[in-house]
Amino acid sequence: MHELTITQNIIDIAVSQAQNRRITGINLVIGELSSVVEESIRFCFDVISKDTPAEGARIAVARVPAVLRCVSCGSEFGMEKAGVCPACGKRGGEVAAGKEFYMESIEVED
Amino acid sequence: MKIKVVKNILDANEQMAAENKVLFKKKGIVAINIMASPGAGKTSLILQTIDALGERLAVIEGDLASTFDAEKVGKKNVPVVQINTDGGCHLDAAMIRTSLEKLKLDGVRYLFIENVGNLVCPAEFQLGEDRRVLVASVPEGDDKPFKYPGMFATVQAVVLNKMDVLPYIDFSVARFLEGVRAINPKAPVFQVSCKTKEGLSDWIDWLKKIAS
Repeated sequence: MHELTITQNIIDIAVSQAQNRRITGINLVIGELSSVVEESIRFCFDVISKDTPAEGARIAVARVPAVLRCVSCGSEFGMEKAGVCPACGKRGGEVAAGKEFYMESIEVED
Repeated sequence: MKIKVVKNILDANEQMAAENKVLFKKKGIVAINIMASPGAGKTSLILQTIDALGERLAVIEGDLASTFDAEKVGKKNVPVVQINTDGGCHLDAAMIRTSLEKLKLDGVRYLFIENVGNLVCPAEFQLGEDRRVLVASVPEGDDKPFKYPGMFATVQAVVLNKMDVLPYIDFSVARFLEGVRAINPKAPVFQVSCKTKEGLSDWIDWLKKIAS
């Protein structure tokens, strides 16, 4: 459970970017392999955003599915293949996507 | 109005980790972040490594509570500091920075950082380490690479511990290796027993190689 710290980071980043404007939305990108629990962030956010410019902001999360890149032929495939490349049949993929965890944008009042 | 941000949420931690990395480099220290579930054998591996490596090393012990691990390591006469996270699920770069002030690092070649026992959260937090190592163990089951892909994907080496109990447990080494290879084809997997010392020489050789 480190979502409290993470949520504080989210609020800090959003507030510094908003430059004294009221924040109405925060858009996050979270990869499938990132161990961040969206529901916990929402819960923590409701509690600790009180009395900040981010209070009441809507949190939107874009999930990025994990993508593995075959080390033999370079084809890309999803986690459901258990690491076996559907193109060449060899086992072994390096993570090409799915570790993301960043703030894409915020929405502020004009 | 929309404002483009594109900023890593863990940026503050990663900046401090980068500073730790600079410090390690300046002092000629190879820092190794040891991660595992509780009871896999992180401390046992460190104790065996102290005996076998024959080089000066220091240890940072991370636990929610207690100083048991630091006491065990301290008996080997190596510099050690215990971090208690008081419920925190992982070590972060700031904790490492603070504990470095309490360690005598002169002449130290390797710094072993034993993370909090947890296969989830520590994967997210860079400490400034040179290498990340995962200790898995036979009693945990051969399906763990499939169940904790984030952790298995992030490490540069895997130590499979407790090989001595293999005859008593339904654990397929082949299936475990398949799981690791699936998501992390390059990491070496060292099959060891910290109890019988079986297989530890390959692990020690790897440690020597990364420091040379």
